[in-house]
Amino acid sequence: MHRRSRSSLLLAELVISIFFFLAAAAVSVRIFAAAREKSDEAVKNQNLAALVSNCGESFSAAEGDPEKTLSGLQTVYSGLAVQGQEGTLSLSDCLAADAGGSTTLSITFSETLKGTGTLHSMTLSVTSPDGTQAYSRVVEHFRTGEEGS
Amino acid sequence: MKKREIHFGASGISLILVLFGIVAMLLLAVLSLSAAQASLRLSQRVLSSEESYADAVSKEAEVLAGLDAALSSGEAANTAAANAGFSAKGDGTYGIAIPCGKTQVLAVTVKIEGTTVSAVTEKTQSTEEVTYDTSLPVLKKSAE
Repeated sequence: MHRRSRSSLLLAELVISIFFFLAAAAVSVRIFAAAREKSDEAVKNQNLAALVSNCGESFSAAEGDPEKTLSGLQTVYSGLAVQGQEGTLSLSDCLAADAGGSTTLSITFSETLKGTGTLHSMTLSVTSPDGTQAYSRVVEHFRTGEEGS
Repeated sequence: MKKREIHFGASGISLILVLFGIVAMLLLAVLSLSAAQASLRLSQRVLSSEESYADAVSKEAEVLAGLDAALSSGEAANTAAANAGFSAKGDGTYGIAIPCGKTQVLAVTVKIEGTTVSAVTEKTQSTEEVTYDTSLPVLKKSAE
């Protein structure tokens, strides 16, 4: 009788332990998943910040020249495909959170004559796998007529 | 002589150990979440700062283009500079502070020669008083 009550106590303890452990494990997994999601988002932001900085610096250093800008960027992003005055980069390696791999960055250039000089514009646009524009930024550089000549 | 049996499981120690494990696991998960949250906040600030700088540089280009257009249309240097938001400095140069984020400005100095405008200096400046904590040895060293 005494032995039976003791073994049932042991069984009850085992069941309670397993129950609590499973409940806590489920909660922990959810918390870890949320942390992973935030961490991925942070990496994506950092890479995007580096991208904006690199493109902006390269554009300013090249004084708005599309070819020089793209050439400079190719030293940083080896996967950058250049066609004419447009650059395209698959961001699967660059933005860690985009595991899909079809997120692309396209860099386009335009110029407007202003006064004696030219206002050069570079547009960075990140397109999501579903085709929507996820991010866009315009960087401008003014080159006076004397600088250009 | 009667031998005394020890039932380790029934004494409740295993349950206590499992509970301790659960608490440790939850604590690690919460710490991980907290670290990821802090990292996300920092990355958002870095991105925002880069975007602000890019916007300020673009604004500078637009201001210079406007000034150049005004000068080439025959407007006087002082009037054109004032209309573009520049303030005259003593040494014949003109300066403008373009907002760059919440706590910084992009200070640009230009020189006007005839109808040509050229940027002389360009630097970011803090608009807030910054008091550094020099009690940290790393800052002390850099201050020296």
